[in-house]
Amino acid sequence: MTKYIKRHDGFARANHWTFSVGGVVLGLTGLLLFIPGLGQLVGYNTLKTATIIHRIFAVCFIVIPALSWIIRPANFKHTFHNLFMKWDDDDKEFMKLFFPYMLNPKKYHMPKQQFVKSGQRFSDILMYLCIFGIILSGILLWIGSNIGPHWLFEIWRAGHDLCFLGIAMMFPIHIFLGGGIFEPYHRVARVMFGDGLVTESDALYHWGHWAEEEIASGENIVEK
Amino acid sequence: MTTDVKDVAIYYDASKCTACKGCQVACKQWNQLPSALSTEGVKFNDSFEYPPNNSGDTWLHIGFDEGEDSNGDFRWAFGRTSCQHCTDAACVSVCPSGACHKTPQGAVVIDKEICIGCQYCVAACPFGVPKFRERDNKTRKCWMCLDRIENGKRPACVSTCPTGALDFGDRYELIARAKARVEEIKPNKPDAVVYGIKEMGGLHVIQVLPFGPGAVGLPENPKVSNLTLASKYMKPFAGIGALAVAGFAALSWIRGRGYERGPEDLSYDPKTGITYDKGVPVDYDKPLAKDDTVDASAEASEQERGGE
Repeated sequence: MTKYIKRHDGFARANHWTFSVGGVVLGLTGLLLFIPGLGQLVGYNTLKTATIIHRIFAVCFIVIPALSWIIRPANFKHTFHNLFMKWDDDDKEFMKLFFPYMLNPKKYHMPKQQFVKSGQRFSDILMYLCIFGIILSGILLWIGSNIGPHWLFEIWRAGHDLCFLGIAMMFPIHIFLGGGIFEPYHRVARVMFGDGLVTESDALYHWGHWAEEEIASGENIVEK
Repeated sequence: MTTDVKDVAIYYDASKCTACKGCQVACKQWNQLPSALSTEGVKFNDSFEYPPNNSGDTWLHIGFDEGEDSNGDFRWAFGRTSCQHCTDAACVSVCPSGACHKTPQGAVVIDKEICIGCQYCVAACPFGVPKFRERDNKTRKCWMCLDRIENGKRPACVSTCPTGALDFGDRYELIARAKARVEEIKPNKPDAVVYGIKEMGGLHVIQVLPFGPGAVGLPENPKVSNLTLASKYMKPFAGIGALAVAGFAALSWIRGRGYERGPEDLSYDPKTGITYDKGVPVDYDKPLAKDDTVDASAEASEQERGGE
């Protein structure tokens, strides 16, 4: 019998995947506009279709997470509580050791972490800022250049590009770690790809403080 | 004029212009651009200017500006707002579909069939020329009447000018003519300049401006905006950044290969508050974890055996 801790329920996983698929489609279709040569390479029909798809998915990208937060306001609270919780010594130490650890995971033992690691909290804040920026600038770009001066439209366009750049930088690392490509994170993929459970051992390795609290309370423990 | 014509330009001598707006009307007629048939929200302002600005349906706009010249004398400046057909056209560099392109003649043209209406060119143009037309979701602007010049005719605006303020021909010949004209009017118009020789790499609309560019709302030194430049440089930076991130991830993946930790290696005793790695307490203060705990585990087993 292996002891597991429930980490993400079906609702959270569905929300994650909706947001992820939406983000990937938006990224790929947006890339055709971001790099003019690429747009010209695929031709008018593909590019025009891509812009329509981009707008449809942009609506989903905004509406679905917003709905999920309305349906479950506790999730919204939980997300932002985790994002802005006070950093303790372990959090700071984690950040200090992050790069040495990534290059030599067999050597470093990372300090215990809360439900969201400090590194992920840091990248999540940047990610949320970029997402907020890309949504806002996207809406204003959609409204168009006929409202307001042209330089304003240009600011939205540059802002949209900049936020895309930020997300594009963070996304590969998220896949590399969250997708379990990095071997020490191998079984972590299960929390989103699988049933949302994590073994006690993995939970202790990745989120020590959170795992200890869960084991002590016993509420979310599953044995199978 | 034949189809092999190269580097042509429109010549506009504002000192000869009476602002009759014949060119504005001819442009609309030839290009079948409808009138707005409304005041477009413009209140009476005792100006002869109408419509208030260029738009997706008004590709050439004649502006009127009343003011004083550098001698303090009254001046009435007429200006032509239309595509300048830049050599280094910002609109061309930002167009994602390739709709906005340069022709061998030097004209900058938006191919409406492949314009996706992203409006990036609208924002990039330092002259505020391309305009988004909502009725067909396309951005439109002057195209130098390419259909006419390819068939040996002059652009519609030029062909209708009654005062000779507009002309069309070889760009270098028109520059020489504009320079001569400025020399001629300089005694009475001290602010007179030729506009379009070097701006944006050289414009394909050469203008004689008796009161200088500022009087007709043209930028003294037009340039691609910093934001457009930033976006341009952001693209290679994004590529380099993504490669750097991918490179780091690849290196990390290589360094992480062979890492082993079983699904039940770590456990926690809530009563003592101690985390164990294969039964050995984990010392989080020690930086060496995996190798260290393996050694510690072996050492513990050794001690256990000794104890027995």
